[in-house]
Amino acid sequence: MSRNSLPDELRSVLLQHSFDAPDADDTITRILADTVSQQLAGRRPNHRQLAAGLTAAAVIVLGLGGVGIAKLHHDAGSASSASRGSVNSPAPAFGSQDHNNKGMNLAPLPGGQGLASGSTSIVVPDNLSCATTPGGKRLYTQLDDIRLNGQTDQVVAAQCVSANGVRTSSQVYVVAEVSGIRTIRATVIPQSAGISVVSLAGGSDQFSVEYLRLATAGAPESLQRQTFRTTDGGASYQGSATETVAQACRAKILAASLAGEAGGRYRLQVRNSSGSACVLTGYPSLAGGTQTLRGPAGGTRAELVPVLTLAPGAVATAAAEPLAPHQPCPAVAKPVRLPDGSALSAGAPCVGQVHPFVAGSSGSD
Amino acid sequence: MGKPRRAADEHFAEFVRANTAALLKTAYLLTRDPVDAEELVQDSLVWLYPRWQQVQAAEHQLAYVRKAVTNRFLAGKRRMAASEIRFDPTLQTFTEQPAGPDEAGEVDERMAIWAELGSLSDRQRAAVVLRFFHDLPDDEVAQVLDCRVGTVRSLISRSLSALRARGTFADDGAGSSYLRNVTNSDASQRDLSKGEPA
Repeated sequence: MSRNSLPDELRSVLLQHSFDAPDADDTITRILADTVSQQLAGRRPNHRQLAAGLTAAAVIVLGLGGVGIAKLHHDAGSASSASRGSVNSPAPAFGSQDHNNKGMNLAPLPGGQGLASGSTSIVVPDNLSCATTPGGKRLYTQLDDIRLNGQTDQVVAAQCVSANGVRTSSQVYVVAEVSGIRTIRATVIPQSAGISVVSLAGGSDQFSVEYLRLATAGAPESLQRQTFRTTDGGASYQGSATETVAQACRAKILAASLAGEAGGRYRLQVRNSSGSACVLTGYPSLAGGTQTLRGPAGGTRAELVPVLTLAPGAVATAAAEPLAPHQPCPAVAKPVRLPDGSALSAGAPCVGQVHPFVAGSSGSD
Repeated sequence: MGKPRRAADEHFAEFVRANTAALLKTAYLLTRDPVDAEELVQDSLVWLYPRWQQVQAAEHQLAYVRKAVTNRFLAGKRRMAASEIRFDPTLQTFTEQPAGPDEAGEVDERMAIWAELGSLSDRQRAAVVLRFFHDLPDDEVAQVLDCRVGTVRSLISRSLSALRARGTFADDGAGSSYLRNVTNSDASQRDLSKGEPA
């Protein structure tokens, strides 16, 4: 028999478990980014903020195929993009109406080198709003060498990426250097299109963009491709008809198994049991699972969740770590859900961290 | 941005920094899920932000916000579809079964109480958290839940009865004074907050 009365015991239990509440820092950051930082976004940062942002910028070079080379500018300095404030622009020819305008840095970066403060970087304003991606990052993928009339224009995909590496929205520009100043020549895919860019390829007077078509809730619906071409020297671009590369993998076409392993880890494996390819990207939804790119059980070493095109019979796997001993498991477990929201037939354990789907059966890449 | 808005923003930011940790504790005890708790607190404060002058005008600002968090929890839960798929860790297999009491009764009494809290209805759990974690009197719990004091006592009485079935406590047999009061109150509809005898 307990020495305490039930109400006393209850107070003790509630107090004890209240310490398992999540740390407040991330939530505070997201709340402020969603609220007061929106008001402040129109303010110009001071020089110290600008220098810090530039110095913190890192560069990851990705081979995206085609003639061009895409450079991924990872703005590590913007833990909260909406609170970063706009960057001074020498030529605010575009996007200046948007109070959330953050500007994009399009320095001619040598591969793998960081961007030093005081370099030849030129800032071009963009009108990408990442207000709905609190705590995330802004990434710029740049495709060089669209040569038009002797000039070198560049195609840039500006993307909002959530803190767990999921692309939430994108827009695509052609950027031109005019009289030594880079400006946006044309916005070929606006943010309102509801897409998320996966890759850029091309060169000469045309380029193609592969992107995820996103549902209203942000879940991927399909992988699509579109080609843009100019016939007037880059003054305008015409897009081709959209080609659907693959529909999103949904629960009904996947065979799923969830296996417990040594150390309490889990592997959720799915196999495309349909006769056509499907696209899978993101995290499964597991009870208690905090979505992180990688952990002891597996995951990805990339900075973004992989976009997997699963051929018929192909396998993808998401790994998860066990719940910490002191962490409670919800009394009613939730079903495993795919990134598109469809539920798998198997139930789920409570997990600590869950990682994105990666190709193959190991759960890591 | 005008001065009133700026002042409200500064007050809001100060409030968020000072009280988010406490609100997360409440939200976690309500939702029992760290991610859901974060979303609940974030959603509530973002919703309150354009109405922040109402919060500033409130006598007890944290209580005002806590009420918003609790109500949004209850409103959100009503919208969510219930799912009853459970995981049996001893078998490493997955079975579907109807909702029922959690099977944690063999662990220890405190774990059993925590597990049983999860099987309470959302309103019952909200009443218990407000009453026993925040030590709010019944009438203040009633204000938060927008119900009568008698309803609060009924919610808590049923909750304690369910929890009592999970263990043995020092007040077993004689019954705690709270439980006696609740039981008598339920029977006679007397309002104990006014000092009427049990």
